[in-house]
Amino acid sequence: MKSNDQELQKVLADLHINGDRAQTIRQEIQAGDKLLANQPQVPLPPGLLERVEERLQGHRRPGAWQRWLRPVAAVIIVGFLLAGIGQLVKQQNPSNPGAEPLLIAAAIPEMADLIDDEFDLWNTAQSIENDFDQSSVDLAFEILMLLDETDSQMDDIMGKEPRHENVVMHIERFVSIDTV
Amino acid sequence: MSRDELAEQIRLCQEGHSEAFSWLLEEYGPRLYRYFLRVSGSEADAEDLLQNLFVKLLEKIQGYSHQAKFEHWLFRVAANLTRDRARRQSLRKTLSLHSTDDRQQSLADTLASGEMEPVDHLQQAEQIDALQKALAQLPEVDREIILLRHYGQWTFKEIAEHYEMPVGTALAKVHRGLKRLQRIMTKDEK
Repeated sequence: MKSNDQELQKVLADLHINGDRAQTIRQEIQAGDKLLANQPQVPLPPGLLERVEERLQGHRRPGAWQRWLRPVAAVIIVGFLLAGIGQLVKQQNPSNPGAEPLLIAAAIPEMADLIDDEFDLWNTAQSIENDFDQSSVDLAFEILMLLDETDSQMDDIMGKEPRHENVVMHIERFVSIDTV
Repeated sequence: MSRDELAEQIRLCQEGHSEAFSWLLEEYGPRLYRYFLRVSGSEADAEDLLQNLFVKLLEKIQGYSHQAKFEHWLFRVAANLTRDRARRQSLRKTLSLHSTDDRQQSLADTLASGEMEPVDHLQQAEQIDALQKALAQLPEVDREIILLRHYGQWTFKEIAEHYEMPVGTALAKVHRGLKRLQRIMTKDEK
């Protein structure tokens, strides 16, 4: 309480409250503090701390070794995944390893957008189906190329009967393989 | 409790030692519970808030950097919890509806345990009740500020920072609130 009073005096001085006014405020605050301090303590309900302790048991933070084990495990898993993808890409296209997964991932939303724009990609899907044995990376490039071609013929294509569901299904069957 | 002991226990908490959390609970639990009870006016809410606070502490203690006084930091978490809760429910309503009933239930429990003379306990219960009723008549923020100062040992500067108000306003609120509290309690005595 002594430190409280010291702070109170400082605050009053900083606010340029001096003399009787400062003294009155100080006394009234001290009286209020005393009133609170003299109140009987509220009894704790029986078993309160035990109940809190019990609830804490269910939320305990992991121990120190668990805390560093988790990120290490995450790094190892991600490392294996990346190595696996890299290996796959290398097998499929040794001239430019590493770049394709990103292109494939980028191609999917782009393709979806184009399909939404009412492009008829039935022919594209057909060609994919015919080249079932081709690697998914090459197929993704092929799809992109065909999309570029059809882009310029949009006006002609728009009038044709769309078969979007089939197109989506075919594209997903191929491209999703390499996108993890 | 020395400052070094507290720092050591906090360090152990940050490393995930459950005994250190138990230590903090023993050390601060009763004071925090009383703060929550006085702010909310409900035993059930106070217990719930205390539990939530310690669960939050498990998550937040990593972020405690020893720059702020631990007690102030702890009560700041407590104040935010009560604030969040008050936003969700009408605190004023809760105070008026539950304050008396809940505590009488608790005192009845203690009386039944035979730890105190019934006459003493009745007197104590009346005093506790009177303060609770007086606190309930204060504006919500004024009540919080007075209780944070009392239970959390907050300074005017800390109050001003937390509530984003000038120090002069914090001083005025404490002054006005305490005066009003005294007036209400003196009037009730008569």
